Amino acid sequence: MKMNEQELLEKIKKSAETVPIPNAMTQENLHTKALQKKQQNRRQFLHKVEYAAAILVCCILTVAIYQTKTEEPKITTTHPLSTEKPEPKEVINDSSSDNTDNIKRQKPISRKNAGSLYTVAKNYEEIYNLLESSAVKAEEDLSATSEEREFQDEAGETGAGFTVEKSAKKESYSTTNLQTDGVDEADFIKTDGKYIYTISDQQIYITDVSGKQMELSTILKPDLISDDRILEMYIDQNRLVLAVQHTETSLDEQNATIEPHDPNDPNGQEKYYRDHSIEETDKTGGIIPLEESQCYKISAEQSTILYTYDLTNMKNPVLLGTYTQDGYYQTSRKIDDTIYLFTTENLNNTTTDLTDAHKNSGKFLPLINGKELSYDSIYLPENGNQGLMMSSIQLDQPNQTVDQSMIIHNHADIYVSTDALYLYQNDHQNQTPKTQIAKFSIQEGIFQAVGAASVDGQILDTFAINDSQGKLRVLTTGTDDTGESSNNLYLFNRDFIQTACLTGIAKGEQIYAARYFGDTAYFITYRNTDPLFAVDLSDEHDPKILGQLKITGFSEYLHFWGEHQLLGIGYETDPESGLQQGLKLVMFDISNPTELNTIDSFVIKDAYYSPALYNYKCVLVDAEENLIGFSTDMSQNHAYMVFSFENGSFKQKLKVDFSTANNTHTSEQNRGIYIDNKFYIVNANEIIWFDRENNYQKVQHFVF
Amino acid sequence: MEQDLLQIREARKGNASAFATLYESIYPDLYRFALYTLKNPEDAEDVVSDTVIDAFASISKLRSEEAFNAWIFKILSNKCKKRLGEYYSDCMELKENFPDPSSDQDMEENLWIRNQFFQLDGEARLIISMHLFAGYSSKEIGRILHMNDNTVRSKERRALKKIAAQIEKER
Repeated sequence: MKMNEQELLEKIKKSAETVPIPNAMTQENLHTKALQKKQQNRRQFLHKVEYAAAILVCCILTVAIYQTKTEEPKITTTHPLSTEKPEPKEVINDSSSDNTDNIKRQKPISRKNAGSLYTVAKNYEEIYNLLESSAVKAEEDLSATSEEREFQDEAGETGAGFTVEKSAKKESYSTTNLQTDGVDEADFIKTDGKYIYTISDQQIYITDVSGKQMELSTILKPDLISDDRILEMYIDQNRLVLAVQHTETSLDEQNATIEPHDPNDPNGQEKYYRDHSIEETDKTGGIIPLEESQCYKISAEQSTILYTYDLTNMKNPVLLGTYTQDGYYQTSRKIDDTIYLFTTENLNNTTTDLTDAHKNSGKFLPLINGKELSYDSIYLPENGNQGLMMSSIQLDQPNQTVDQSMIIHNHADIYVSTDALYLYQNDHQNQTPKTQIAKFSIQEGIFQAVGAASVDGQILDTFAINDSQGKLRVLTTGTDDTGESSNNLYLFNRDFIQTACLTGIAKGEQIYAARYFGDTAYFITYRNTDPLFAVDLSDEHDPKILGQLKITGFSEYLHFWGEHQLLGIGYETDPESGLQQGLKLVMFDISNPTELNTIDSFVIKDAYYSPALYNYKCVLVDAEENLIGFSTDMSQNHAYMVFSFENGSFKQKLKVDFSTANNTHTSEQNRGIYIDNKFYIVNANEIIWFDRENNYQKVQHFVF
Repeated sequence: MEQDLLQIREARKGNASAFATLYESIYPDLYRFALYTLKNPEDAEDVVSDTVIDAFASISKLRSEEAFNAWIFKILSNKCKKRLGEYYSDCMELKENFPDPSSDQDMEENLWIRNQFFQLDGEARLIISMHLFAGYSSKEIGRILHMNDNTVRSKERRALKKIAAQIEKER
């Protein structure tokens, strides 16, 4: 497979090399293009293109030497703009700084260090200095690592497998497929058993599905600004919480001033410029004088806004409050009544050329609800430039946080269990890959560091990391001394101290999917066949491999089916050639972990892909309801398929084809929902209702 | 390379001729990157010229001379990412046919693979372009696109799987 991918990349590259490069792209010709643009009279763009042309014309003449400076007024606009300037943006904030005033806190929190991995900042300047040194380092990295490509690495999938400790009470309708039971996750389609909520076209369609006919109850239109996007939502009884990505676009005017050729003689250059550039450029085609060539710098600042609505009167949802946090939405979780919001922002850009006063005030930092964080809520690593802002917000107080903190890191992944938050990131500083993990407790919404650890290898599956009653278990794939891949298991106690590890499992293979069931870990590794491993974790100091089973193909998503069976969704492959032969469902018998067996498998031959393999939110699996639902991709279309597992074999119950021709939605945007004996396929355009008791007959097709 | 470093140093001081020389050496890759990410020749030309403007305007801020290529591709990557966002809302039509000067059989394969590539979603095209034409590692791509490097690799792998499956199908 590796071979194929490399070959394929070569082919793609080769196909590109035969594309003729337009003559307009050569530096001599770029200015002609500028003139054409001029006729289109797109003033703003024009300035830029003319400026480019001017640059290049000047190059040809090899005359002017100039630079641009950027210290101009800032115009804020909400127009969607076609170009973006990726260069430094400054955080402008004039509010006088008291960082803790409006923040609700039961008691002052004294933060502890997360081992030596993240330490609490002592003051703002320490944060500034870290970011500045990381900025330099990042650029050095860019130049250094362009040589060493790591792409052949087969890499891990995020998403697959699941830690089900079966929920105590079963609802009669499906919920979003979660990573951890009890830790709710947002999605763009939700149901509460009576209504189906769908995010579509920056609105929420609330459809009443309790009657004989589906009826649109309300369209909720949040008060958004043009660039804002509704991402995901939560439904909790009569509360609806929307996560919205807000883009504040600013337009900076940037004057193309002329740098003096001779620093001692500023007028000399101006004169030089007037004498040469304008006339010369005029001769080559009437390029505009540089004096006018102002150009604009567009910068977009991202923030994430939570809108909380009261749905008591479904016909008239009432906005209860909003909460704003800087940065891109990374993810969120909801545990009982508390929402945890994680946003991320690249902090490199914010630290250029600050005055000392700025350094000491923290004004270069992103804002949480309009305020900078106090420095003692900020965790610093040895180096890093990504700010991960985390906050906890209660549903009944949607305008304020319970707690907030920021961790500066290098692209950490987040795993949230019912009472702890784990950040894990690859550590590239060694020859062999390592993973650094930090643990924070999140009791009652308060973030508090517990400790940090480093393990060999990388976490290749979302579900390979799992907390059970405060004890973390982690499966990683790394390389041994000979460079061969090899898998490891690490166990930790509640204080995040490693108690045991098992290394060198399945050499030459890597972990494709994992699940933990009570004190047993199940995982799939793959080379040419698919070994399923079962490992006993009940003794935290002495994990034991109980059994393994080899079958053809490999699973990329695992889901427990009752207590004694395990469902795998993946690919069937030819054991000789390794070529894929379609999607495959497989049911493992795990009633005796020392003797694993396959009960049945089902190959969907014409399907070559399913989003279920990588995005667990696309999957509906419910053993009690005997339902397995997911989307599949075929070459000409995609389909939503429903299976049951009856008398030891898979049975296809429903297949609904969706055309890819008009590109209305992708397979990943379908969700399967059941409410009692009703089954729905929902996407941003429609709800299709089927009767489970009547052989999945279509009842109603409702289009928004 | 040494020559390049000299040019970059000159360009950083504001020497436009040095900048033009640098541009001359890199523009085919910039264009291919943009075309493969955006699928549309006119848009590709637009973002490349936009990139050049921004690059020249801010080259004095380039901290290390070795990083010139990575840096200009970073500007281009961000511009393409922005454009892709606009496409999504506009539902742009694909434009797929380009003249191809190579031999018939090669041409057919190139055309086919290009069309397959253009079927991928914008994000996948951007990631693969960043890898192939800009030579970024997954870690670097992750940094620019605000993603974990594992996510970057799996997205690339997923996309390639999609194309590979099509190849197998047509055999």
